[in-house]
Amino acid sequence: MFHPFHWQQYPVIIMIALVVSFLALAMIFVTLGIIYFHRIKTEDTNEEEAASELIIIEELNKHILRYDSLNEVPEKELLNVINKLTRLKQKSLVFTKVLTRTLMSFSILLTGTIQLVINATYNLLKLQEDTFKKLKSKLWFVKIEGLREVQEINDNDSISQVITLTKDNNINVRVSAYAALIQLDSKEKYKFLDDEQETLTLWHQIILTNAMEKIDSNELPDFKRYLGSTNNSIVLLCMKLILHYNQLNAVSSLIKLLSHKDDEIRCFVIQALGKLNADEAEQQLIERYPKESLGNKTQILLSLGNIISLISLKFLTDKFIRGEHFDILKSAAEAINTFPQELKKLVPIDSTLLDEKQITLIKHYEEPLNLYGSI
Amino acid sequence: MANNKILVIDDERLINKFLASRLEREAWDVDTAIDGIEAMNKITRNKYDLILTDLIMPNVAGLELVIYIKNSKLNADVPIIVISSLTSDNVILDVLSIGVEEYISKPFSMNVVIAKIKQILGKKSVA
Repeated sequence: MFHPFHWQQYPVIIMIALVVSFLALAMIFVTLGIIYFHRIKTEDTNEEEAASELIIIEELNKHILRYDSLNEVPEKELLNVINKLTRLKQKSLVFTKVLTRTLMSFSILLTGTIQLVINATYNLLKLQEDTFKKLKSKLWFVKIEGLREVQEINDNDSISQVITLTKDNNINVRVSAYAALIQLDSKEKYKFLDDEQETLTLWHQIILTNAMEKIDSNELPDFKRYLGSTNNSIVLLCMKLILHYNQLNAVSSLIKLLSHKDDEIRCFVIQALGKLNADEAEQQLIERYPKESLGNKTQILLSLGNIISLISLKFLTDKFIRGEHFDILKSAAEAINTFPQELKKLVPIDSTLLDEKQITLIKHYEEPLNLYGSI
Repeated sequence: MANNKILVIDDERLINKFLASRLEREAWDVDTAIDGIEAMNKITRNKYDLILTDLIMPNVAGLELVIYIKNSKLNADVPIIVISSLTSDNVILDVLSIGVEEYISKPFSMNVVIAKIKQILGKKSVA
């Protein structure tokens, strides 16, 4: 028998629970609906992107990129393909996005005269106008998207706008603008190393280093010029670049930085001097040793291991025998092991003075497989 | 130089089609493969005069593919040019040590690729 439902016969708390449950159920269905709709839309966009990419690659390869310069392309053929792509571009935003992305990919993967063809095609398709709009956007991530397009297409017409964005309030926009300028034909490429006051994160440093990797290393400046910067992240970046590009003429400037007040900077200077095999820094490193923190002391020992000299070996052997701290012992043993046997014979270690830990460390650095389980 | 048959192997459709269209312009017969397995099938069935391949590809890695080519019946003595974005000395030395003729790093210039192909095919025809 069916009993009609009467609200009134239930307590208020049950009524509230029913309403809440109904609302929760409704929200679950709405959420599922949104997720489903979003997935369908993403799938459609992906399909449209794939179809657009096929058309773009086909048209560009068949009519434009098979030539070494745009002058070689028959006028009528060029006009036809540009008109076709422009029509499709006007019809769909997805097509425009894929068109820009494809030209950027070509620009990244190819060098030589074809770069000029890609650049000219980009301008003929009026994609530069879209990029300009992005550069003028109020949203920081849209500006960065525009800057990346300028950078990858090597669009030198946008230099003045990129320079404006080097003064943006957002550090991410500024760093992208610096990276774009590095790849463009600008006189202000490295001005940011003098001007930037905010800390550059490791990610920012990677973006800038990547941009520098893409240009001829002869165009790079002497990074020692910027070692006096008051921005520690700039000093660290320049030291990494000095090391990466092996700028040996920076050694004397690096030695001056050994008295820098920042512990992290000093640690990196010590490391850099070692990696550059700067034997002229040997005396300063030894003098610096008693004044440094434990971390920097171990770094000095490792760097002295790179500066292969009798003085360094004597110093390292002394620190190893004294064995003030395990980290010191470890670094000294590692550094001593880098010396050639002939030199090591000149400063023999008296094994009767060593304890079991020291003997194990020496063994370990002679045979790396002994490390784990022995100590 | 006409009618030489070249196989282009690259999973990046962009590069694959670009290389094919530029090489066809030089009057070479071009065949393409989008991954290692498709390439292996084509290498087993057809004889080529030169193979251009990438190193990083799905299904079969480029190095394995090069070894496969060197052990194949039809194409064991076919010159191979590797075009890859890997620039480490170790990779280049490994690739050259297993009999690859040329190693070209990405980004690359098409004019250089064409010049190398002409040089290799020229040497081959003299031999």
